[in-house]
Amino acid sequence: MSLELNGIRWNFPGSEWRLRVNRIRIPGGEVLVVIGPNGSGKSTLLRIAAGILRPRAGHVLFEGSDIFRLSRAAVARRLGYLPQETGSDTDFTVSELARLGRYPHTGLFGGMAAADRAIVRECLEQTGLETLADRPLSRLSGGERKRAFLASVLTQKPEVLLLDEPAASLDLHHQVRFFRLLRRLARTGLGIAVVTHDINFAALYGDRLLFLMNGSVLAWDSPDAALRAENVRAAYGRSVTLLTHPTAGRPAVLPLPEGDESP
Amino acid sequence: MKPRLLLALGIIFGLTLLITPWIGPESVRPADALSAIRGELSPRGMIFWQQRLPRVLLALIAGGTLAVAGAAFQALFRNPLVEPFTLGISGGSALGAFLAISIPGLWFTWGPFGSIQVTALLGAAASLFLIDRLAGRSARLSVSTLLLAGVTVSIICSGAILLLTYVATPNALVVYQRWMMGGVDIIGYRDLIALLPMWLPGLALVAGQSDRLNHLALGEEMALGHGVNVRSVQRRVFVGGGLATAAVVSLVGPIGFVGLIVPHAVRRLGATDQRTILPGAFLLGGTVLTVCDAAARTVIAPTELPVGIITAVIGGPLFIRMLVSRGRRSRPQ
Repeated sequence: MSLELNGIRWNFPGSEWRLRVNRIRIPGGEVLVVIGPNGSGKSTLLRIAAGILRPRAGHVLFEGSDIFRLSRAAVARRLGYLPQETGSDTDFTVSELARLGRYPHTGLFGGMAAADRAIVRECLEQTGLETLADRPLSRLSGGERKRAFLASVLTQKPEVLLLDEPAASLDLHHQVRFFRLLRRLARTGLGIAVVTHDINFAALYGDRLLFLMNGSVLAWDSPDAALRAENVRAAYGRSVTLLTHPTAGRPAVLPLPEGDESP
Repeated sequence: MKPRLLLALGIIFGLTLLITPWIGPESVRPADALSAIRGELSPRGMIFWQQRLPRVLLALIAGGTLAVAGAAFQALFRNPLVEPFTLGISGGSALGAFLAISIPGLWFTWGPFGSIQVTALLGAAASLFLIDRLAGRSARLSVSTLLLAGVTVSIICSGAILLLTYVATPNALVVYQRWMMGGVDIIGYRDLIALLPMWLPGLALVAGQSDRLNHLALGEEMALGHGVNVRSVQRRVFVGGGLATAAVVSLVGPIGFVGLIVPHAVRRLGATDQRTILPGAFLLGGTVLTVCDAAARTVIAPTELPVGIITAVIGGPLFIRMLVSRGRRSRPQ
């Protein structure tokens, strides 16, 4: 399994801003966390990697073949993508939503075999939603809803998982659970790329970080190397300070109070 | 999926088919209808078999089709207010069909089939082309703009039709009068056969998209992520909805609001899955239009009302109510 981005170039029509990513690989069994300030191109890059946005130049190679030459269903059988924004005007239940992820594997009318139903159950258990299976989405909390959408991506049984700020609206406890779930999934062989704004989560749960700024790659490296002081300062300025996590030994970032500047 | 809801709607649909042919200004007794079996058709038996039954069948088909098209467009645009009528597709079809009725050079028939279906389809295609250009201009076009455009297209089309009535022959005017206000009364079995070549593939094309339309409720990116080719769903619903609507409108005229009320009611009955909503809309839409038509031929008997008047009187206020309440709520139905 591999997803490879080569020589990616993108710009919004009429805009000066340019995304330039020369070579990134998302290998199986690893969690790649994409970080960077607002407007650094994280979501755009993820959409290109998912084959949803066609770059102006460059290639996305999925198992060696151009992702834009494959049908959407063929991509979806092996690659799961959770966008930042999902539709809210639906009253599907959790299990109805999760079932939809089986689409690329089932027929035109979504007929489900026993095996498909077992996969849906398994994914609801993985995301801790088995007791909420028959609850409509409108009656879920923000975190439960996010997990329900993740479950619907997991039922695709993807080998690569691309997640755009999946934990953004979750409380600390659920964020921790979410990232631990990603680690467990990576151990089963999935290649995961996840966009987040939270550098501490990135450092703690990422095998590798992709640090973007202004559409360019600031670092594609281990958390320790990517979160060097000069990178953090370049991206976020002097109003944050770099520490070491007390038990994990990974880098951590804290905001500084007013008037306090890091060197 | 809710098979029990579909079963219930199916039973009501069946009962409507069995009961409504007996309703009308002239009473028909079972003995009259059964006279056909003995091979000697009484005048009232003729009314039953040659007028009432094809009329009921057409109302079932037309109401069902408009409701399915409405439900599919609502899922596609993620808005409960769009339907063939408010999108201007009915208006376009009506103008096209009326061109064939009023301009002698455009009127051809081949057996049961006629140029009227072709011109209705061209009218529907013109409206759909406009919608597609508008919706394609910005990814998340505000649906009120689309509705405004659709209603404006309807107004332009009825204006053009009114204009044509001044150049039309008196003969065509008689046809037009009943047809424009939405009537299912000038009908025989030949007309039902004439429906088939456009109606059947159109409806099948839309029905085939039912599970994919479920994904569109999750947003375009999520649907693409699940492996749904969103653009192909759009195209198929446009083509299928256009074909089926044009076929029906060419026969019954622009009957409004069935495509609005009926899918709304089916969702109110608890259906969330398009695989329930689309067939449910067909069954309930057929029932509603047939019952409205039965009312249309009895309320001020012996004069018969065009059924379009009844659907407009019920559907128009509901449309306005939904429009207003949508402005207040952020979450659509």
